[in-house]
Formats: sequence, C-alpha cells, structure tokens
Amino acid sequence: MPMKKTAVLLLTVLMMCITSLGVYAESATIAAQVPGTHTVTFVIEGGKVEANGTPVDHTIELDRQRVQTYRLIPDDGYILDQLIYDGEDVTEQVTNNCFTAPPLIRDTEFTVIFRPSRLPQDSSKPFPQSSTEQSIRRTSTPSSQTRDANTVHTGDFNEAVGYFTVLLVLSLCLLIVLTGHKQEKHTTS
Amino acid sequence: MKRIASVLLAGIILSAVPVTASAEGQDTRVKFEVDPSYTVIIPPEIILDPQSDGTYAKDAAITASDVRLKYGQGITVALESDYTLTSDEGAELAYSVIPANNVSGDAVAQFKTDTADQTAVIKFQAGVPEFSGNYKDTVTFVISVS
Amino acid sequence: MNKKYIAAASAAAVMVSMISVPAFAVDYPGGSQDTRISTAIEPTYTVTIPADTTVAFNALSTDFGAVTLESAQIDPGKAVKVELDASGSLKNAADADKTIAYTINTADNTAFTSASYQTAGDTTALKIDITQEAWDAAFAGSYSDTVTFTVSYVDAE
Repeated sequence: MPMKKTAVLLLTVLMMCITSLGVYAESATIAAQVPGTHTVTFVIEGGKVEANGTPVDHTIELDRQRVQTYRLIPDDGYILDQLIYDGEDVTEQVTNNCFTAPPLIRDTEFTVIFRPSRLPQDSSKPFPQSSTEQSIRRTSTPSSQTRDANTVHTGDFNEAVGYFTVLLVLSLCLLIVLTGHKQEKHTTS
Repeated sequence: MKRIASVLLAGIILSAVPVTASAEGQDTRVKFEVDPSYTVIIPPEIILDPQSDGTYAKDAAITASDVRLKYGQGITVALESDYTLTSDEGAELAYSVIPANNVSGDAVAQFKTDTADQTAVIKFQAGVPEFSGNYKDTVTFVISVS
Repeated sequence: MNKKYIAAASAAAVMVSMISVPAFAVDYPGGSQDTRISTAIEPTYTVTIPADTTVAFNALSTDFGAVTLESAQIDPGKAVKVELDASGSLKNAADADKTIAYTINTADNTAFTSASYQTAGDTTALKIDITQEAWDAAFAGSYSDTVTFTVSYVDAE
C-alpha cells in the first residue's frame, strides 16, 4: 500500500513539472535624450552680427526649436558678401540686413562675410579659407588694388592732353610772332 | 523363546568375524559430490543520470552470492548490445560500458568461488546528447562458467 | 554591451528508478537476462537578448545587440522562438504625447518581429533606426520605451 501511494505521488509530481516548460519574457529599455539648447557658432568677417539687439560673441546658446532673427551690420565701407547658415548659402534670404533662421534643431555654424563696397563680389571665394587670408583682405591698400583701365589717376599720360599742349604752344608762338610784326609796322610808319 | 534369540545372536556375531582388515593394506574408496552453485543478481533497469560535464552515466552493481564452482572455474559476465540509445523521435546517443576492476577478455565482471557475497560495479557512460528526448536500449547480460 | 540570459529547463526528473523493481537472478549453470538502459533528457536552451540601450541624439542607426541561441538541447523537430513586442515610439518622460518614432531592424534593414532557432549559435543582429525627420521634429527632453522579448518552445516550421 505504501508503495502504491509513493508511485501516485511521483506520477503527480512528474506531470506538474512537464507543464512548467512554458514561455519566458524579458524586457529591454531604449532611451534617448534630446537637448534643450543648441550652440550657434559665428564666423564674422568685416562687420558684426546682432541677436536681439546684442552683438554676438564667438558662440551663443539658444533654446531648441527657437526661431531667431539676426541683424547683419557691416563695418564702414563694407557690404554683405555672403551668408552661410548651417552649411547652406542663404545670402538671398537676407532682407534689410536681417536674416531669420529656421527653427534651431542642432548645433549650427553661422558664417557671414562682408566685403569693401567698391570691390566687386568675388564669387570664386565664397568665404575666407583661413585667418591669414582674412588678414590680407583686411589690410589691402589702394596701391595694391586692381586698376581699372577706364579710371584716370595722377601721373597717367593721356594722348588728348598731349595734342592740346602742342596746340597751345603753337598758338602762343603764333601770337608772339604776330604781335612782333605789328610793332614793326607801327615803327616804320 | 529366549533361548532361540540367544542362539541367533551368537550366530550373527560369529558370521561377522571373517570380515576383518588385512594386515597387508586394502584401498578404501571415499567419495562425495558437491554440486556447483551460484546466484548472480543483475539490475533489471539502468537509468543514466546527467553529469556535471553534460554527459550521462550510471554505475550498475552485479552481485554474486553463494558461489561454489569447480577448482579453476569462475563466473564470467559479458554483455551483448549495439551500445546505442535511441529516442522516441529517432535521435541516437552512443554509450559504452566500463568493466569492473581486474577483468580480462570481453567480460565486464568476473567472480570466483566464495561463500561471501561478491559485488562488481560496471559503469554505463554516454556522451553529451545533441537532442533532448526519452532514450532507451536493451542490453543482454550473459552469465557463464569458464 | 551586457546581455540578458534566458535559460529554460524542465524541472522534471524522471524518478522511475526510485520505484522498486525486483532484480533479475541468474543461477547455475548460467544464462542471459535482458536489462533496459534508458535516460530522459529534458529540453534545455539559453537565449541572450539585447540589453538596455541609449540612443545618441541625432543617431540614425544604433547597435542594439543580438538575439542569440547560446546553447540548445531540444527535441528533434522543435525550435526556440523569440518574438519582439515594441510600440515603435519613444515617449517623452514629461509629456507622453511627445514621441520619437523608431524601428528595430535586422542588419538587412528588415523589421524584426520574431525568429526561430534550432542550433546553438544561431543569432540575429539588431539595430534601432530613427529618421532625421523624427529627430528634427523632436521636442527637448528624455525619451524612453520598453520592448519585450518573449521566448517559447515550439514546433519547428
């Protein structure tokens, strides 16, 4: 009788254990952080930039998604040459020396180049490649500037002036001769 | 009646007298027979247990008792098997048998004449199975005297 | 990257041997006796799944580890199936209405929903993909989501 009870108990335990081979679940968490602010880094040549009436330094920190308007102020004798915002040429979007940037969604570079007003825009160089080059452009003098063939400068020789000078000398000589001849006639009469 | 019995008794005694040993040496044959016997107990079922290295094995004890054989004889236990466990689904698992100590030839166990119980332990050893399942095989223990 | 392990084994131990069975006796002059050799090998397997992962801001594709059948001793004709339950949206901790859409893909850019494995070493590498548009539209804050891997023992397909 005890043997029979043992067998029944073992069989029951066996059945319970087989049904426990079931399903298992385990979780994993995915996380991400979106920053609340982004940095705008400025490269300014030949002027200054203002944001909210305040000149900007090398960098400013703005809230994410912020729409910011910048005022572009060239130095005296300079005008806007090119504006690169977040890698894109947005010069055409500047209106009344102001540029409104799209919502700020990542760290961005703001590069603005002003050029002397009497120099044409040099489209081959959208913006200075190095600080050395910037120094060269800033210190350029009229003597080293490219001469325009149609502009006359002191010391230049003009053919028309030469012809006029010869004519003037001849006229003076003729006048002297005529004046001397008239005096001779008056003396002999 | 009493007289007749006495006469008969005397006659019996006198008739036994001529049967006496010779003083010269006569062989006497003494014999007895002892039948050989033994009992060998083998396990009816051997269930392999999982080992720490992932293999499966089990020790099986074979016991011989009341072994009484002719001089020079012994009991030899051998196995007949394909040494392959097969699962219900057809997966196969090979196994081997490690004989008991001090065994020669193809035997897995050997016993000698001894009235005390003798036990030989053999080991059934299987490898690491690739598939799970209920595996089984039948092995035949062959006991003989040699 | 840390891995998470799921090990499964039936707790059943075949205890038939504990049931007393009379031994076989062989007497002189000898003979033979059949003995049954048996063993019950329960299915076992270990699966590793990806651990908690942080996606860097603006990252379009992030390594998300792999689902791997590390070890397996299963019945012939059976397989270990791993299913993924993911909402596809990272939720802002401060405002659950603000979300960032993501997908969990395999190396060949196929969306991962489930896979079955039969051999130890079988693995599926995973990655978390978020589009640039999703990042650009995201509001500032902390985002997260919990995905669940469900492992089951099934018939092989």
